Amino acid sequence: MPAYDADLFTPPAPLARVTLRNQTDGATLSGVPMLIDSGADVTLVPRASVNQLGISIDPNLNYELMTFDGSTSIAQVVELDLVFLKRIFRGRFLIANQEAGILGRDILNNISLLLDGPGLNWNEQKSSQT
Amino acid sequence: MKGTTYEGVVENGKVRLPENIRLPEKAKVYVVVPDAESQPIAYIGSPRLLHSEQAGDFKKEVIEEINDAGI
Repeated sequence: MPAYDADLFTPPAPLARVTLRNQTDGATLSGVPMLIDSGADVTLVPRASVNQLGISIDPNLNYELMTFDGSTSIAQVVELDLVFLKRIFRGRFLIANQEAGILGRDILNNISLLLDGPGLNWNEQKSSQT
Repeated sequence: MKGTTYEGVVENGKVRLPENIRLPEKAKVYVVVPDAESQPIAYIGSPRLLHSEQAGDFKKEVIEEINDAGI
């Protein structure tokens, strides 16, 4: 089961490792750290990963984000594929200037996860209903 | 750092220099913006879209049950 991360986050936080793919040339980058953050409206991917994949960033398109204290910031966007739990999530992603990205509800609302805090791990919950 | 300073303006997100200025291709340039406050870039932790109606821009196409080894 994927473990919580205690190196980047204190207290430990659920961290997923995803694969990002350049839609243009198919280049992939695996093991990209992403914080599982159900408080985030949308997903942000690390800028270093975007640069490594050579994905072009539209300089004329950005989005305003708001923090819990009401302060705002600007994020650029890219189009890419994010592979997580054997699914491809294709579309628009914001860019974060930080080591770990953020898995927001645009991804998380498509899956079922169990966060085992005491056990410091998380896992996908497969539906038993047919 | 050696160099020469030119004055230009930003139009549609791009720096436009005076027409009589020609820079060599691939020249490294530095941009100094006087009297401007830079807006902070994306931050860590539970970001919300300031304009929630934009959430639809981030709706994903989900392709299920792929083989991880295939990509």
